[in-house]
Amino acid sequence: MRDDFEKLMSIHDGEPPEMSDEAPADSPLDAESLEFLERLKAADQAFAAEADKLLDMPVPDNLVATIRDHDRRAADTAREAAPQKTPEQVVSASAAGSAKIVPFPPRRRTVAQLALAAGLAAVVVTNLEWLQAPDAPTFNLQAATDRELFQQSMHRLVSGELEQSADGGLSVMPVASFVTQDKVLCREFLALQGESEFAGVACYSASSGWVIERTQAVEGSQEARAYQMASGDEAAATSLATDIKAAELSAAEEQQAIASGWQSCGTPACK
Amino acid sequence: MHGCCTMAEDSPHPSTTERSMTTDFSDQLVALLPRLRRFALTLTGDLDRADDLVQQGCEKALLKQEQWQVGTRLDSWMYRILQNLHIDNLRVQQRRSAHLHEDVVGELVDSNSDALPERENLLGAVAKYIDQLPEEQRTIMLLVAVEEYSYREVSEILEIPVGTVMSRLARARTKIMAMLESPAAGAQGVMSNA
Repeated sequence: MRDDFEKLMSIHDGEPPEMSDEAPADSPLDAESLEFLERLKAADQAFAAEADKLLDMPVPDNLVATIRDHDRRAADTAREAAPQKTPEQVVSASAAGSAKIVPFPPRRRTVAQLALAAGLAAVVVTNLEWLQAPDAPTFNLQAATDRELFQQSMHRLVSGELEQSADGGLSVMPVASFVTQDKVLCREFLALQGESEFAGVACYSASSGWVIERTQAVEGSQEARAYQMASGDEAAATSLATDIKAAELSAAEEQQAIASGWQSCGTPACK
Repeated sequence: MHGCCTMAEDSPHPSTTERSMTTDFSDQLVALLPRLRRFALTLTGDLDRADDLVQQGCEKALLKQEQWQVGTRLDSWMYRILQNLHIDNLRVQQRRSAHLHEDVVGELVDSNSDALPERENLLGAVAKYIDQLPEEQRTIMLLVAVEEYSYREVSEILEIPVGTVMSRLARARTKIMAMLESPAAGAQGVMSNA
């Protein structure tokens, strides 16, 4: 092998001079070196011609199937975890036997963030007084039927589904589910009661069921509608993660939590 | 030649786009299959084992796709996966061999050597120059001379020093030049270096 083989090879391959131990070629290459470079080029071309032929070999179906099957499985899993809904409309779960379409209440990010930013680590508030103007409407679950509707909604609806009382006086829709650092499973919800709208957070305990931790009357326009596909929107997730250090559940985890009666959610954070 | 298969830096990552990200990744992987097979063939020297290796690699990549950094080259990432799987396979093969024959202790088996008499020489049927090189040299030749990777990129894919890349590349080219000029001499060179 030539002493300057690697130097010439580096030139041939367009490598920087420091790749070779040899000093960089400041002067033009002599005829012998140029001839050697030609031989290198011929060697590469011979090799490349064969390598290109290898690309023409038909790819076995099973290799493509390996990849596509993985795609299909992933799609099936996603479909099972997040059933499709029509934005702006959900089927009332309470209208069993005669599915009733009710309008989706407006979603106001600022209110949700306010409610969540207040934090969940505070004392559990079983009734509904929380930093509201004296004349602000309060969320009222004094009627047994309303309490039952609230508990049922929080317990078995996926985020984005809405349940409405028979008389239409109360509608409840969970919009996101999450687990706190203390491993408490909680849900953010929106509610319509009479003419008033509320955003709130409730957490589950085996002994007390869904206990409302925070509610806030929602005021304002109908702007910023944001349909919740399964487990809340990104703003809510960000708020949960940054303000109360809670982890939002994925759609699949939420499904698992519902299926387990909110005993677990399939993620280590819930154990 | 290369330059395939990067994903834009600003590709969305939120959960709502995971499905399309998965599909993008899979589409790129399918498009890469011919090159992955060729690379695997230079590693194994055998088409069946190359396909097995590619299948292993694709399964691993699909499971670990979140570890691939968007904006980096998918082909380089896949080559590294195949190379590591190939080494793992050789180690398993070596352990089995040592278990069956307690007196067998040696280096990792070169799939191009006579240590695998059952090997079908499919590569040799279509690519005599490639087939005549030992695995360590033909892989580097493929990456540098065909796919135009830099020496440093090759050293990262194969996890060997740049100096080793250069010396193996020089030996490979020396042999191919010898084969081009005198096929008999080239074959002798291969025998003495394999």
